[in-house]
Parts: sequence; C-alpha cells; structure tokens
Amino acid sequence: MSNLHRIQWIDKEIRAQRYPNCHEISSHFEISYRQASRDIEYLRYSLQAPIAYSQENQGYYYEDSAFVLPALYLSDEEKNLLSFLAEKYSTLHHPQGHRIAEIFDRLIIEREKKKAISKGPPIISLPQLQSIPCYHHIREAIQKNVKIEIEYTNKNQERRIRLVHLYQFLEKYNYFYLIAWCELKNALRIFRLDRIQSMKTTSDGFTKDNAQLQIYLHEEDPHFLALKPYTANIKISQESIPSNPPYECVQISQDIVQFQFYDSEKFIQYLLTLPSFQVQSPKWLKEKVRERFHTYWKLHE
Amino acid sequence: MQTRKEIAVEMGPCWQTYVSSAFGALRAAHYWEYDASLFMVLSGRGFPLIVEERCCASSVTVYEWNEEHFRALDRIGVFSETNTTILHPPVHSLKNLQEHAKKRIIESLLQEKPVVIWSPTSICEFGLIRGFDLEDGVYFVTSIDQKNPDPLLFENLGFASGVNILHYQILHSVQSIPMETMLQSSLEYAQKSWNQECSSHPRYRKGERGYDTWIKALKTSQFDSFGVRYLLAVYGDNRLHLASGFRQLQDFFPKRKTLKNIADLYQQVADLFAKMREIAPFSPPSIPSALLSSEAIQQLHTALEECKILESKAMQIISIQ
Repeated sequence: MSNLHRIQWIDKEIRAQRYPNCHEISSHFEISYRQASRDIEYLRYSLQAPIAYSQENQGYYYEDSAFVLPALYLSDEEKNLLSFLAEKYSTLHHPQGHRIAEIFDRLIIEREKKKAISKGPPIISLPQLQSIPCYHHIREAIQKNVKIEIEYTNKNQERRIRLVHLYQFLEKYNYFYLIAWCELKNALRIFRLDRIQSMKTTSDGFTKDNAQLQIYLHEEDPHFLALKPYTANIKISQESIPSNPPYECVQISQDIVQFQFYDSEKFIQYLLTLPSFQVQSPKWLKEKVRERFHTYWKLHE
Repeated sequence: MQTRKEIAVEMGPCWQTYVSSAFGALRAAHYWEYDASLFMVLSGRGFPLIVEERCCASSVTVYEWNEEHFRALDRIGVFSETNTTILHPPVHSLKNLQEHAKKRIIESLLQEKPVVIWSPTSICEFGLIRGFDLEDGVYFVTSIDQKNPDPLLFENLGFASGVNILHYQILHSVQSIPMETMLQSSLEYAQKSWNQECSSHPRYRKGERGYDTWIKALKTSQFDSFGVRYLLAVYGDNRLHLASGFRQLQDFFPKRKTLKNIADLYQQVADLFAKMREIAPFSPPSIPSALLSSEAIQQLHTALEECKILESKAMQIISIQ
C-alpha cells in the first residue's frame, strides 16, 4: 500500500469529520504507529496541509477546510520545466545533480502514465535542494576565479554581507560547504551553502593562496575536516575512464582508478553511470554493489 | 589472527539509543535474557529526565557517560569497561588512542561481544560496532537510522558525526545478581535522578527540576522546537518502557503490591506523553518543523505539569520501597 493511498484515505476521513488519529491509521493499514505519524508529518510539512489535532475528538482535522490535496496532473508547461531541470541537473557532474535529474525524469514519465507513484513522492533533504542553484553559480565563479558577494546567515542567525574569494567545494555530513577567503574576517572560512541567502558575482579577480589553504585544511579546523574518506580501487576500461569525475581520484595503473568518497550510496550511483566497472577493493563496497545488482535482478525476475 | 568478523546483532526497540545499543550488545553476548523494558527499569536508564533551558535535543545525552554507563550495567551484574575521550582540542596521541581502542574492540568482537560506541555514523546517537575487517581497515557498525550503514574506517573512530568524542563500552563478564538487589539499586538511582541537581552543566536540570525547566521554556516560548519534539519522543518512550517493566516485575515479586501502583502511574505519564506527541510529533532535522501554536504550547505545558505530579507520586512510592 503506497503512502499516497494512505494520504488520500486520511484526507477523506478528515473531510468526513471522522477525526482519524495515528492509532486508527496504523490499525487500518496494518502499519506501525511510527509510519502513521510520518504520514501525518508528510501531510503537514510536505503537502502544507493545515492539519491540527483536536483533543476533544482525539483526532486530526483541517483548520482550513479550503485545503485540497495537490492534483496529480502536470500541465505541459510544468512537464517542460521538469524536463529542463532534469537536463540542467544532469550536467552538474555531481552525483547529487544526477540523483535530482533522475527524480525529475521519473516524475515526468510516471505521471505521463497516469500512475500513482508507488514509493511515494521523492523526499529530498531540504538543505541539499536549496544548495543546488547556488552550487551552479559558485562553480562558475570558481572557474573564473572571481570574488563574489554573499549574504550569509551564520549558525547564530546573524546575517551579514561578505566579500569572499572562492577556493573549493566540500561535501560533508550530507551538506555542501564552500571554503573561501572572507574579507570581513581576513581569513579562510567554511560556509554552508544552504545558509547563503543571496549572491552577486563581481568582476574582481584574486590569486589563490594554495599554501594557506593546505594549512587551513590540515591544522585550522581539524575537527570539521577530520573525517577521512573511503578509498576504492575501481577497474575501468581505458576508453571509459572519465575525464572529469566528480570524485577525487588518481589512476594507479592502466585500467585501475583509485577514488575517494564519503557515501557509498552516492558513489555507487555514480559508478552505475559508467559503461562498465569492477570494484577491486574494498570488499565491503564490492558486497554493497553485489547486493544492489541482486536487488535489480530480483526486480526483473 | 582472524582478519574478519561479523556478529549478528539487533538494537533494542527504544528511542534512547544508549539503551537500545547496550541492550543489543547484552543480548548478542547472552548477558541479558529479559526484554528492553525490564532493562530500562533495572539498569535505571529509563528514569533520568534531563532538560536544557531551551529544551536542546542534547539534553538526553548530557550526563557523565563513563560513570553512568558503567553503573547501568553494573546494576544488572555486568562488569564493563567504559572509555571516553573528547577529541577537542586536538589529541596529540590520537593514533595511539585509536590503536588502543581498536585492540580492545577487536578482542571483544572475537569473543562475540559487540561494543557500544558514540555515533558510529553521521547521526549523533549511540550505536554498536558489530564486526571488523582488518584488510579493509573498517569496523562494521549498527546504527539507529540505517539498516546497513557504511562501515567505519579505523581512523574515523570518534569522528563520524562531527561531535567528536571517542566513547566505547566493552562488556567483560556477567555475574548472577538477585532480581531484588537489581531492583533496589535501580530504585535508589531513580530517586537520586529525581531529586539531585544535574552536575554536568548548569543549563541542564534533572528529574523534578527537569520538568520545571521544560514547563518554563514552554511558558516563556523560549524553546527549540526540534528539541521539544525529540525530548517528547525519547522521554515518552522511556516512560512507556518503565510502565511495562514495572508491570513485569509484579510477576517476580507478587507480594509487592506497590509495583502495580508505580506501573499504573508511569502508564498514565506515558499516555500523556503519547498525547503530547500527537500535538508535537517528532520530525527529523532535515524537515523544518511547523511552529507550535499558542494553543498547542498551552496543551503541552498543562500535560507536562500533570506528568510531573504523577511522576512525583511514583517517586513517593519508590522512596518507601
């Protein structure tokens, strides 16, 4: 039973003023209480339903009865937009971009078939999603070696305008970060991309101080950067060796490339975009890939 | 020397991840034959209710890990070794520290005993090391948030979540302790947790004062919404286990009629927490929580005041045990 089907049932019950609660949802669909809570959260946060809990009736109701569940229909304009975004994100040369592109593609195809989404609407973590447009602009600025002006909110919710010299991206703990020289602090700093409120590219260039960057990476903030990446040796045929891979890598023999990565799920997604590959090491990654193929195989049986 | 080992392990069904991890390790080592609720009562870990002034989610883990985790298992007759090193500021002997830990952890795993650790993955929660592979240089881990998480590199031990603390607890041996002794020790601890000041940090309060702090934060609207939802989930689940644990203890001590009264009181507290969780359900930090309406906040602090009264009554009964 899909999450979409349950959402429709909850909506129907609320409209009929039957005040469903998590116990009733879990027993009706034979799902866990926690799953039922997640359905309510999905309705509330992802679909923006004005849902509230009534103590008196021991169940949920809509504070604004004008609310309607989003229609499954997509207009041609919306389909074009999704298709454009899929194309755009697939050119980011980054696993996260590929993932978003796949999701957009899937949305278009599945809705074309007028089928409900079997595994529920995609859940994308918000910080990553907010970061993507920013990522694209910053990437361009890094290539051009120009300063940018950002409006940045720090973890203490203080918002300031900063002029920064872009050094490099960093993806850690499921967030995108940017290492940049901050003119305000006159030092290298790490900025979280989803905390950048707005940005303006300038025409001023700058010279990167790579020695300073190395010192910063190894000494200034050892805790943030302490996590070591996994290393994998991947056998790839000579003609398939990617020219611009999204991971740190080094070719260690004619057909073996050594990659560094932090998240096996994303890394395997990237490997699957290659024409062919063979994991040489580590063993645990080999097992994960094998499991993945086994799952695919079972789906096709 | 064996170069690879994996132990089948399942974490306990609890929101408090230290309890779910320790329970999983104890079961895998065949050191505990009862369920998670009895472990929650007899280890004492179900009792502490620690709340930070703004209801920060860290409240649940702000206590002295070495002492508390050692004592929790000691109450049920398990001798263990705990080790905690905060890796900030940088530890110059980090490599030696990690190497020492690795040796101890592998010894334990080879004896079929998983090891409890702080944040085996990027989530700031306790979890388990359930295996290792020397060739790949990794520990196999079990975490509350993922079915099959990526393993932990030996050199990332203590650094996985960004809250860089190397904490591990290794099980050594178990001795048979009468249930009566376990219960008595746990009830004494419950009283202390209810009455004593929280020694770890001035912003955090424990037990009865913990409730006061929580209620005050809600009344003054000075609270972290995620924290409130998380505390409701964790402490609500603890209280549900306490109710179930005390109910089971009636079978062990049929003459101690007051155990039923304690169980009933904790059940009432757990029911109130369940209602509060309907009002402020838990949602992960990646999904921004909706603002709680003033009516919802009012309902929460009224319910918490009721919980405090009910738990005070339970403590009065416990104090005369």
